[in-house]
Amino acid sequence: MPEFDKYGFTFDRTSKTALSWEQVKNQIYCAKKPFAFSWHHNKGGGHMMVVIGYVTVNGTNYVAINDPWLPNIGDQRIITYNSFVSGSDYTHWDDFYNVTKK
Amino acid sequence: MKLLIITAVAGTFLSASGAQAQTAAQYGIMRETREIASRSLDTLQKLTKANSKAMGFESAEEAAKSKLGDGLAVFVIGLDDLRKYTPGSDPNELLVAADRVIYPVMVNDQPCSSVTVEKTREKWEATSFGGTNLIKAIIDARSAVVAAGAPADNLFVAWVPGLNTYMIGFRTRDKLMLAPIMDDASLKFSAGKAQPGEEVLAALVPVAQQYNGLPL
Repeated sequence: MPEFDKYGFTFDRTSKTALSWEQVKNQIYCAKKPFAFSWHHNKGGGHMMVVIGYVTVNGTNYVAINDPWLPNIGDQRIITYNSFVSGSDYTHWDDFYNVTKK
Repeated sequence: MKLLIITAVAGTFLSASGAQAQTAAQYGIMRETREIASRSLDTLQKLTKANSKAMGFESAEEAAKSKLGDGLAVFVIGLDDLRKYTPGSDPNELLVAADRVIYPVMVNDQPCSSVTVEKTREKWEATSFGGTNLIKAIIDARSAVVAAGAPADNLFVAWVPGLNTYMIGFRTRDKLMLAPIMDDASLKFSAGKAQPGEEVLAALVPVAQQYNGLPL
């Protein structure tokens, strides 16, 4: 889990729920705050990534994400908002948003 | 004539073993998802207009010239199943089709980006674009196993999502082989070097058992 407290940040947290599309836009465009999100894999374990942007193309909503995997390299992807929320083999875990320096 | 060929092909599938029938189903999935991935290249080009470098291209113009490479179906190995795996037992039983196919997006025959087509709510759709470093590692490993003699037309991705471990999988004489896409000295994994599936899974069991389950 991100150690925001340890590094002097406050944050809000969802519980097994994704931020809504409106909340995503509010975080990224209005507040200029990237936020962390996590997935819970159906057969154990999970993965945490960071949403850094959003876009709508041909009526489909997408979020741009920084994925820390590959180790020490990372990757950037753009995924549909629907797959950000959940997928065939994972459910949404917690989002960490409104991350602000104390 | 076409009808005769279709009938002959259908007859072949009807008389095939379970493994061959699975291959036929996989063939249908690959054909269907490839059409969707091809159509989604237009979306990829729109998505990369503002950030082409982050999505793996030198420029938006380069993205416009990109072509789809050969896709790889993804099979998942669940963390909970891996924790219970007994070395020596059949590793095939841990592989579950993920209803997901990853396609490299190529420029000058080199992988630059990717499109993932996934079955969501009973329909296939392109759900993810980019992932440059991951697809390069996957294609590098695929090239290495093919160079070492693996069947190029029967490869897949084996993914342990709980450990974020990706491998190239294939079968020789019904024996599952797995080639990690990353070096890992502690597990004696070399990128692109295939080992028997049971050896690879046996190496991963302690890692799975020690992992606390929190998001990586």
